Amino acid sequence: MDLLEKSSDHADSAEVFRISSKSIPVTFTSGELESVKSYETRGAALRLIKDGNLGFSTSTDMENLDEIVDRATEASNIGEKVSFEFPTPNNTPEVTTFDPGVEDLTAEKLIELGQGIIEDLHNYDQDLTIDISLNRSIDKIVIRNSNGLHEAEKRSGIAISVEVKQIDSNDIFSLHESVRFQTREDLDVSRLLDQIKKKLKWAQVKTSLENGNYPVIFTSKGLVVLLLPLIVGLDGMNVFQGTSSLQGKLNRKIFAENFSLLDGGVIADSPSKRSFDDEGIPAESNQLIGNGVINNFLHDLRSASLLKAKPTGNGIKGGLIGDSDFRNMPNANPTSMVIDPGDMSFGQIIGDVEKGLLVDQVLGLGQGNVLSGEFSNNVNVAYKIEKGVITGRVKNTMIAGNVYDLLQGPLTLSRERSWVNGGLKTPAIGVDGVSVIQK
Amino acid sequence: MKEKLAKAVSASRGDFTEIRLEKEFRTNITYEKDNLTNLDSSVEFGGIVRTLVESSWGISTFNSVNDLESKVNQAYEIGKASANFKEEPVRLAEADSYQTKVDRKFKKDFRTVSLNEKRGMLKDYNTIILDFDDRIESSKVAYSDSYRELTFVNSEGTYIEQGVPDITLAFVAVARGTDDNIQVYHDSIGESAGFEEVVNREAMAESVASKAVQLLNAKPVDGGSYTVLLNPKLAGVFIHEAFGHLCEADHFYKNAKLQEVMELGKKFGPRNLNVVDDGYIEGKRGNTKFDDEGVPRQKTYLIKNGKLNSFLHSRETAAKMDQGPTGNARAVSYRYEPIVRMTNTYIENGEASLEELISSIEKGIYAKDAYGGQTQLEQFTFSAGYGQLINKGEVGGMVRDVVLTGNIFKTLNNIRTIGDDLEIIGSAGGCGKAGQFPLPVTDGSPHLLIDNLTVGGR
Repeated sequence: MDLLEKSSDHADSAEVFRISSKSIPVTFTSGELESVKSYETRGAALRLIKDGNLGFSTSTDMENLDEIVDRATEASNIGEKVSFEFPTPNNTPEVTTFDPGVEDLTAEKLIELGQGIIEDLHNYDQDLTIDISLNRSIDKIVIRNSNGLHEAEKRSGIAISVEVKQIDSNDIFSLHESVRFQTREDLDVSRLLDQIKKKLKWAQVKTSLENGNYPVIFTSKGLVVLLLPLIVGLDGMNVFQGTSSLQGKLNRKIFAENFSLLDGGVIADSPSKRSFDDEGIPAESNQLIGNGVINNFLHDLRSASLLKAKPTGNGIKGGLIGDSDFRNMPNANPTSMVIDPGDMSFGQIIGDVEKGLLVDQVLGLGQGNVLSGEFSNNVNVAYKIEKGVITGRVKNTMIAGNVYDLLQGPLTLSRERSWVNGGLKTPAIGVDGVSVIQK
Repeated sequence: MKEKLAKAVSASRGDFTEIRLEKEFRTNITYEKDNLTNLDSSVEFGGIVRTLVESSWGISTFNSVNDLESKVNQAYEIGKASANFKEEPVRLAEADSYQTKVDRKFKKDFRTVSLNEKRGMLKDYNTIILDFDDRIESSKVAYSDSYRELTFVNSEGTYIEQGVPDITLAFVAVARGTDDNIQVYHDSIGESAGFEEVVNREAMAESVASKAVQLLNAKPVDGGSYTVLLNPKLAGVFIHEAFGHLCEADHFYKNAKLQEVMELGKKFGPRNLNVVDDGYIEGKRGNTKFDDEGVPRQKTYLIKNGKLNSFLHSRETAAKMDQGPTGNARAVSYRYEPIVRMTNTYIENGEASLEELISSIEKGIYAKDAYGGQTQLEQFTFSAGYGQLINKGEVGGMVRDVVLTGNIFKTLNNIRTIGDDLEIIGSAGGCGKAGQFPLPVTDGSPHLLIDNLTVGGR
């Protein structure tokens, strides 16, 4: 008897999530191969609803199914009263989430790829300290429930992250760039290498900026400073509980006219596509913010039922743009997010700044009061802009502001966009009036 | 199992082989406002093989003990493949071999407490927070327990079984005032102990709710450079983030330039500054009687009398730097190989009382409790739960959004006075490094007075 049948005997309805993952993480430290690993895991998560109460348990032991059923049943006896039901079968969109070419990537190929990155960067500057992690992963996911839903999908991914350091006796400069691809065909590290070299060039001169309020341009990568509090605010569960600053603001215009944000598993060029979420809800494309108006929130089954809204395909068993971890309950999380571009080039945006800061990377992300939209971060990769020109790197500098104030605009958005953090496609965005403290 | 593991290790074609098995029994319960958003009781089994082939690591993970033989083989094949690319061979520092079984003492075994009793306790704490004040908008109350049965075997004859209990309780209160003023406060405990640690925590629940409400009236701190008095909890986070990570030898064991920066004997702080990482303090969450390479714990002085004294090592980093292993090779679970990590890290006592410290401050901030921190070698940042302004030795009004930053090489030397009230504190969550999160650790310090710390703000 399989797990779903066995569970259905103990409950009114049941859902089984299974994942088997195979990946090959490769790491380089200080320019040398550090370790190669074959990582395999398989696990199952069981959710039961009995008399309206939810129970949950997970296991890696596929030979002993009684234990997971017993544990989930015990939990459902005293579990949360839920008002949702597991979904019935629905049409999932046609998206390509798997490329056999990724499965064919061997450890040797990944090592060679890493060596190529090191060689290229050492040709630029042989004193760079370079750490790299490369990974190729294949996840096979199956979701079945007692309402007849049966979804299965293979997802492939190649993730590369590079950290370069310039070290001298009284200064360490550390820059981090990462990329993700879903298919072998897309695999191309030239943009990543160009970004690193460009940012190293900008950093050649050290400079400083007096304390004050300045215009700040966030690069695509740096924009996560503003996006993180916003994502927390868009989480349907936070909206329901009143811990989101966006509660009560649905269909209201609270951001600048040129700010639009889309979330979805089916965004064509996303490196993190999926055709259904971790509850089996078909992925879609969900306009969260359109021309400054809050159009929708991120929902899983629970938050949708509590807010009497429609699930949006955002029931994800992981963190922020994270992979599915069967050990977690699903929560309302983003899949892939896209911000509309502007009409200026990145160069024009910089060119218009009389005196300000270009922020690319910060320390202490999410440490402030994110619910209120506050951020306060050490900018460990940031550059001074003077009279429209990048004049050097600043350090020992803090920026602070409030996302909900700043995104009211005016905003300048670049035409150019890039995928960052695995699933965010963002332009560079300029805001005005960020506090900068340098002692 | 012992024979099976011994057989698998001896059958390995690698020059050195180790296997670690883990069986974890865990419970997670979470209330968010009125919803029981997680109620999870699970068991997980898995293992990892690590083998040296021509001085290069091959690593393989698995979930079924039936796969043991094939995974030992797979680790060998991977090690062999990567050996072709390895520039410098891996060497391991000498370590004694042990055959032992270590069980932690704990009073009330949480595995004998029913899920319903745990849920009921949590619901009561949640009610305390939600009912505290009309301005409490929401809450989060999270409980976790975990008992890990670890078995470690290597081809040098070591065989160690360890039982590791871990229990955490975390409270979050969210208060909402007017004009979208939302304030959050949290507190938590984390111990390597039994169920006794999480009962009778009503006062902590009340205090968390009370602080969240008080923060509604706190002013955001003005950015600038301040003399800052850190309470033990925040000072502990500071020493862990800003300095502890820097002492992890895997950051620099292959890097000559960083080794120059981290030269032993170099002055790092005032003469009475002593910083310790200790692998075993009764009941503490960072305890690692044997690390995940089978090396016994040590008490390591990272800074002694203000001077850099020692690093934290795995067998590999120790061999490379011609030093001894320190028992700091830890893995967050069977899915990962051990890397260099902290255990229980703290600043030893100085001589000043809290009253003396406060009265010595002309103008400054008393920064208390911690939201967390992050470091990138010399740069660090950490955030306080809240602060209070100090003026002419008097503690005054509450300020919020206190995020501190600095450069570790300067900041440790800016320590003006060290207090006499060391606390070593475990909290929920844990330390993250190289994707391995959350690793149970504790950190601690007496009150610490530091000059010229930069505080961000608007």
